[in-house]
Amino acid sequence: MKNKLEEFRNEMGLTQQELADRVEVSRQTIISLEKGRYNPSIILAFRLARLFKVKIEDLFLYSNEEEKNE
Amino acid sequence: MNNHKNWVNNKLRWGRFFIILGILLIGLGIVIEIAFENLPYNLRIISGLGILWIGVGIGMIIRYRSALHGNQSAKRLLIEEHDERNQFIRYRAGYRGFWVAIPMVYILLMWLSLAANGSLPPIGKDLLWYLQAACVVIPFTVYIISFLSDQKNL
Repeated sequence: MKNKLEEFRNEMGLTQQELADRVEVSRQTIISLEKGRYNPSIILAFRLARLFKVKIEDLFLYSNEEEKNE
Repeated sequence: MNNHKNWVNNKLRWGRFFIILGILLIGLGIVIEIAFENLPYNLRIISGLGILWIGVGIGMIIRYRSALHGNQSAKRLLIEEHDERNQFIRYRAGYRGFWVAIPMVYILLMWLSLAANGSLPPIGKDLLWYLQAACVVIPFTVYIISFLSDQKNL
């Protein structure tokens, strides 16, 4: 799933490791999320959205294409 | 703050316990083999299990000892263990390993049952040991390959 994680992270001036520490996941998970290779659980999606003070749908871009690929 | 270090120390205790358990099992296998020569049971299975537990214990100690140097590294290790992506990768690897193990064990049991009534040739003592070992090693190999592949691709 496409997302704006990297964009929001850079805006906040966080490194991948700092973001990982803030939401209590591994740095590798942040890398995978940013590359769109891994879709987060709803809990992690909420944690990230709350950290960046945005709605989940502003952070994770769910399209009809995603549904077809499921 | 100390919770992370306590968690690491607890893991290290388990590692030491598994090594002791492994040594005891190897010793037990050797003692039984010497004491009861004609048991209709391959005692290398007990020693093999001991080697397996020693491996698990050493692996745990190597993994968790490095986290003892600082609370931050202990915290990161704890996070890594509970990380949802890592848990997903472990779950998927376990699932694949399980579905490789099930048919292997089933075929071996069916062969032994049919060999017992003479429908199939019997399996020798040594071959049986290797086949049983394969039932552990092959699913474990599948687990490792799946784990490494998902770590890279996911």
